[in-house]
Amino acid sequence: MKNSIATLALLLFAAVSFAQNTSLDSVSVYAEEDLYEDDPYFWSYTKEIGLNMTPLISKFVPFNFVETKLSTVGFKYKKYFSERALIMDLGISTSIENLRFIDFAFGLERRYPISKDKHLTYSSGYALAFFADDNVDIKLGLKKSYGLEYHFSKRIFVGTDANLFIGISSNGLAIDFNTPINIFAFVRLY
Amino acid sequence: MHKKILSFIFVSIFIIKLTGQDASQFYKYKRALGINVTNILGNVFSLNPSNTTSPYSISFRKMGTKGGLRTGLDFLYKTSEGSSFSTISASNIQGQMFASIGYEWYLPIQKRFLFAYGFDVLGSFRRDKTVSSAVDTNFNVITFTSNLTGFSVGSGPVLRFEFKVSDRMYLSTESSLYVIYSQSSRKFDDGLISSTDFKSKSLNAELALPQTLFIQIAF
Repeated sequence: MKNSIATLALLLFAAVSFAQNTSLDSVSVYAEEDLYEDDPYFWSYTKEIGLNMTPLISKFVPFNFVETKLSTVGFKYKKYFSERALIMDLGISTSIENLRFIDFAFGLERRYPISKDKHLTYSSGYALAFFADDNVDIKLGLKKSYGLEYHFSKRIFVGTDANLFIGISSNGLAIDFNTPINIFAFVRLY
Repeated sequence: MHKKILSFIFVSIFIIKLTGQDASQFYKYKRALGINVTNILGNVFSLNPSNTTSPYSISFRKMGTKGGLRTGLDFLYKTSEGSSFSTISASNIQGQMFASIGYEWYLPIQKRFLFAYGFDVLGSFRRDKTVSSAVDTNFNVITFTSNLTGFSVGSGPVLRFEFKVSDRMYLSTESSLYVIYSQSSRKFDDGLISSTDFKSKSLNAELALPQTLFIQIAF
């Protein structure tokens, strides 16, 4: 069962990593974003890939002698339609003998501009979430998440998020409030 | 089961159509040599002292228009000799080699930012031999020998961010999801009783977060 979950997660990661829009191959990427000026937001009809950059960023902060806390999610994928997005979160560390953890979530999200120039935005979403770790703790439930993002440009932004998880675990009802502890760097693909 | 996982990974990599976008404006030169500088910067500027775990220290890339070849290499050879209260003498030889090769597709994000995705095939070999001598209660010298030999092979997708400092210099970091099969055997021999073998096998999958910074010099 654990191995099937790991296989599914790996396949999704690979598929998302490699899925690309082939119709724009011949168009210079520097001009592509201008094709979408009529959309309600500059993130409409785009794909976003995010990586948890906290381990790298923490290494370049002076006098940071505490051990960095990391969330189990390392990879985020968002496919935006006009205003809403399908989202996927993934984190995995496992072997045949020892499942360290698997963190997977799939859901919907909507992003709202905070500042007029749309550099600062917040997002709100719901996701079905699954988590399992080596303590044989399995959680399945609904995750309500809030994110805060800063867009350096139309193509690059950083973000962090908090979420409230309500679901069932091997020990009964599970309610977790996860505060923002990690910074994700995103690229936006057209 | 681990064969099924590996099969799925390989199939998923190869059945999905892989494309990149024209990066000829981004790369002026066609080759790049990269060095892991995370620990150097950390030590020089007294930054966070945590050690960096990276499978390789040196990389070489051959850039094409939409994609390019990527390789990584790491090598370690270390010997040590010493003595302590419990042993007359002890010597240790460690050898380790890591190599990876793969292909990546480019997606230029901005004039100075590039995102790349691809896959690696990797392998490593490790040898560790320790010989130590001690005196037992009858004042006889006993020599213990420990031999560890191991190898690992794996593959998986890679995502990479790259920042262009200049046409000659790039900064990059990457994240990978390698599935690695490892096998190792250890032999003990104390010269009196026949040697004992310990063998182990493992299959690991881990999403490695970006935690190393490479400086790439293009030429």
